[in-house]
Formats: sequence, C-alpha cells, structure tokens
Amino acid sequence: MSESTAKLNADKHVEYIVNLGRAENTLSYHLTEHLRLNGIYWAITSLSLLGRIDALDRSAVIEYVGNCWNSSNGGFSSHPNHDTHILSTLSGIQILITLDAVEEAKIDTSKVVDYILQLRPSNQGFFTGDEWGESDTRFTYCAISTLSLLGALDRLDQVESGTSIKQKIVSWFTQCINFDGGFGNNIGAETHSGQVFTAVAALAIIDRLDIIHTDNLSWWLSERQVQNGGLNGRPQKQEDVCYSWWVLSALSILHRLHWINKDKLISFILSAQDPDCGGIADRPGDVSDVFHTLFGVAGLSMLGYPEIERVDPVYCMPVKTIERLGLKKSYTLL
Amino acid sequence: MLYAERDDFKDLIPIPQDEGPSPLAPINYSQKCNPHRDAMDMFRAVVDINEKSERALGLTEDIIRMNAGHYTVWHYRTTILVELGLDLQSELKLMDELSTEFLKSYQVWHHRRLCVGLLATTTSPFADKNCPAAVTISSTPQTSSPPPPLPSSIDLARYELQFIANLFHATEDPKNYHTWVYRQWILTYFDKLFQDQDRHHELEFIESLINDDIYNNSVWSHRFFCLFKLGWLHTSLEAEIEYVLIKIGIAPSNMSSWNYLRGILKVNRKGLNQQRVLQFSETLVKAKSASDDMNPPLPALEWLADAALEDKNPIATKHYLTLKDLDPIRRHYWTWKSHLALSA
Repeated sequence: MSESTAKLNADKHVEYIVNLGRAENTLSYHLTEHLRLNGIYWAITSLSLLGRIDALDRSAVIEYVGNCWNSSNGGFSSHPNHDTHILSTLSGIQILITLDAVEEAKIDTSKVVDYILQLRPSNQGFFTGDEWGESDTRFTYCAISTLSLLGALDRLDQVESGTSIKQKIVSWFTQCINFDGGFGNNIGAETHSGQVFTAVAALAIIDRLDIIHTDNLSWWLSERQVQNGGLNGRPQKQEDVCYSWWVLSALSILHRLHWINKDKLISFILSAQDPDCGGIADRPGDVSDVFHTLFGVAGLSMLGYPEIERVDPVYCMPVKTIERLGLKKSYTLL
Repeated sequence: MLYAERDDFKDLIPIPQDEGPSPLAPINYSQKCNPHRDAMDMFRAVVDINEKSERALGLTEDIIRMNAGHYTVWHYRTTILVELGLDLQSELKLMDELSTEFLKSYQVWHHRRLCVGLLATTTSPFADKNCPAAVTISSTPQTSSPPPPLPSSIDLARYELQFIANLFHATEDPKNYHTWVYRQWILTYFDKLFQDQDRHHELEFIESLINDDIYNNSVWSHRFFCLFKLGWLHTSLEAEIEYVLIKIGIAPSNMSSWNYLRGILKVNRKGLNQQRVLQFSETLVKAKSASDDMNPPLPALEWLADAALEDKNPIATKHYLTLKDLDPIRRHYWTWKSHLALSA
C-alpha cells in the first residue's frame, strides 16, 4: 500500500458524493432509478459520518424524499411515481430522521407503519419486500427497523391466532439459524454475512438476541477475515469492502468486534479508496460507488478510525441520531 | 428504432419522467438517443392508460433486457401475463434465457418462481414435453404461499432442477446465491412429489459439484439442507461422518467440510468427542507437524482443542496457544479460547 492511500481522503469522498448528484445525464443514472432513494440514504449517511451532512442541499433532499412518498399506500418508492418497496421505505425514513425532518416533509408516519405491517403475510413471521411476496431476512430487518425508528414497535405485540407477531418473528428467525450458527435469506439458505447482519440487528431491536449462538456465530464472522485484512461474505469468496459493514456491525452487536484484526482491516479499506475521483470501491483498483463508500466509512467508524462520527451498528445511522430517538441498544465499538 | 418513432406505438405519447424538484440537478432531456429512457418514457405512457397488451409485454421485455433490476417493470409484466392469460410455458422459456443473462438479479428469480408456482397449480403442465400445451392462468398471483403443486407438475420440478444444474455449468458460477435459494425452494415446494430416484439424483448432483470444487461452501450447505432439513439421509450418521472425513482428507484446511462435520454432529445432538474424528484429526496434525515447513491444518487442531475444552482437558490451552501463533490475524479469538480453557 502506498503512502498516499494510507489515510482517509475525506475531502475527496465528500466531493465524490456531491458530484454524484450532477451525473444525471449518464446512462448509469437512468439504470439505477430503482435504487435512487437507497443511493441518497448511502450518500447522506456517508456525509453525516464524515461530518459534512451540509454538503447536500438539505431542503432539496427533503422535498425529493417527500415526492417519493406514496400518500395512498403509505410506502416510499425509489424515485417519484415508481412502485413502493420496503427497501426504499426504510431508506426514506432513515434519511428524514437523520435530517430530523419527518414533520417538515409532511409524512403521515401512521400510514408508513400500516404500510409496513401489511407486508407480513398473515400468520407468518417474516415480511415481504412489496405486495408481490418476495420473502427475505433483509425485508424483515427493514420492517423491524422502520417500525422502531417510527416508535411503533409495540404494534408487533398484537396477538394473532394465539401468538404475538413478535413471537412469530422470533420463531421464524430461529428456524433460519443454520448449522454454522449463521443466517441465510430464508430457512435453510446458506449463511451469508449480509443476511447475518439483518438477522442479528433485527433480533437486537426486538431484544431477542438470546436465540443466537453468540460464540459460534461470532467465530464464523471472524473467520471471514482473509490474509490481506479484508472480509468476505462466505467461505472461499473474495473479500469486499461492503463486508466491513455487514460483518463488523454483527460482531459489534454481539460484543465480539475485537476478534477482528483492526489494523489489517483499516489498511484494506483505505487501499480501496479511489485517490483521483474519491469514493471507495469493493476492493483496491476497482471503480468506487456510493454503496461501498458508505460501508467503508461505516466500517472505519466502528473500528475507531479518527475524525469519523460513530455509526450505530443496529440502524446504520449516526449514533447521535439514534441516541436522540432513545433507541440505542447494547453494542461495543472499538 | 426508438419507441417514440415506432409505428406500432404511434398512438401513444411518451411521458418523460417527472423529476420534480430534486436534490440532484434536473435532468436534461435534450439527450434523445438514450434507448433506456426512450423505452421508459413509453412504459409510463402504457402504464398511464393501464394498457395490458402484447406490445406492452414486448416493451417490458426490452426494458428488462436493459435493466433487469427494475422491479416496477417486472410487476407490470406479471400483471399483463395474468390478465391476458398468456402462455406461461413460453414465459418460462424466456426466463431460461434471462436467468442465464441476469444471474444476479433478484427479480429474474422471483419472476421465475411466480411462473413455476402458477404452472404447478394448473392442470397438466409439461403433459407433452415436445409440444407443451399453452398454459394460461387468470388468477391473481399469491406467491408467499402458493397452493401445493399438482402431482402432474413433477416433470416441471425435474425440468427446473436440470435447468439449474445446466446453468451452474454454463455460467461457471456454482456459488450463485440466488440460484441456490431458488433450487432449495423447488426442492421444498415439490418435496412431497419427489421419489427415491429424484432424491438419489440430487445427491449425485451434489457429489459431482463437490468433486468439481471441494471448497464450494454453497454445495456443503446444500448437502446439509437435503440430508438434514429435508430429511433425505438414508445411511447412518456414522457413514456420513466417514464420507466427510474422506473429503477432509483431500483438503484438510477446508473450513466448509469441517463446519459441515460440526453441523451434522450438532443437529444430532452429539459432542465433538467422537473417537473416529479425534483419531483422524490427530493423524492429520501429526503428519503435518512431522514435515519440516508445513503447519498442521488449523481446523484439525481446532477440533482437538474444542473437543478437549468440551472434556475439560487441560491440553486445550496448549492447542489454543499454538493456534494463536499459527493464525495471528485471529489472535484475540484464540487468546479468549485459551482463557476459557484455563478456567474450565
């Protein structure tokens, strides 16, 4: 690793993110419409952790997010007039809460809560992404996180056929636990670091981490670190900066973050920075994007890298925001 | 040719994206030769009048080929198929092509699942494989729990399994997450229809993939799924342990097979102190330690250490400290384990 990439190039990353907003004429801009609100969330959160949330026009962001809200069904779409989806709904709420602008955006949060709740098929312990019924631990996390951010977790106490929704969720997650202690996206699906985060964080929010085999799973997670310091998502797969979020957040919630070699991982993340255009890529030498930029910065934040705001490993939002809401859970950062 | 210029769409006026005020500067619509935007503008015109037609179906296919992640377009495609009662067999054929091309798209696999769920609950799909009858459907899709498949749909299930097997081969990506999840859905959904020959066939398939790449964690995970989740184990647990040991002998540091071995013991409520595995691990550790510059396979030493810890045998501490030296990147973990062993 050269000297020039050995430090976090925060100014370049801010510049890179701000410039993303000026790229509307590129083909890739049009091809990512279905991820636009997620993209703004990644951008806002990165900037917030870098202490530069003012770099994007706050009122324009709020107005855009407001335009992505569908007042008839209560969900958010990725772009105005697209279909609503649970992924963009969580992103929309995360952006507005980070900007402390839920009221300003004139969002009726009770409608958002109802939108989320109707995405659970009756009697099931999981949520789907939209009315088309794709089930995934990711969507269940999105649902629980959104409800929590909106102060509506008590809605999961509702009893249906003798058991509470929360109990159904816990038993679904229990069925998803694999022989290696991890979680896939569905019952029996291969353990994957990204899905592990969604399960661990969802269970943390509803205070049911007790069903997790903590040491077993934490060992599997620390096994994800390869010789160059990077982390992979599954055994024998290539390392990728985004796992600096998925693996570290889960380990942090499980209070085992110190099982990772911090210095080697910091070096790996920094080596994936683009020294010319800014941003962080999946691995050294690749093209950077805002998704990997956030997860690289968030990883560094959990590892205690200087001059980065602390990120909350449960919600992937600034700690100070989660503390303002009084939602902070138990976890350990380095 | 752009949709805006096509004769067969000339009755529609393309609707440009209403950007609204955006944090990201407004789009410059002077850029006319963007085929994706051209198609999306026409798509908005089609959706605006809620047109469900063959030409709208073709339009969605064009957009999907440019951008397979666009779930709004996929949804609209599904509603067209359902409302027009179009042939789902040919849709599945199209998915054969698109799944290969867009292997990593969630939507392509989800759509395939929708089609299969609908086909499997409709009379006689694949009744004549050479000349499949057009299967149409008029109900609303309900995918999270489709009704049980009809017995006649067993050939559809077999077709899907073969398709996935071919796909792994053709794409040289036998670790693709979506594909495995989809295969497991097929096996779960059609489980009651499968016969011994199908189960046997699946185990042969697993075996061939393990032989192709013994480090493929997805296949080990899938083996566990079939034998212990679906309950297809037809030999004794001891025989399965022997099988794994043979595979570990080929690749002694393979975490996937060692994890699998731990998993099958755990699911059968057995501890690590299995005489056969202990002997095997000791042999591996000794053989490697005896040669000059080779480290012992870490998972074998780890097994001995964890088994000793389980037994409260003080040798565990020594093993963990050795592991700490050999695997410094995880030294904090090994230190913690050695402390556990000391206080045991």
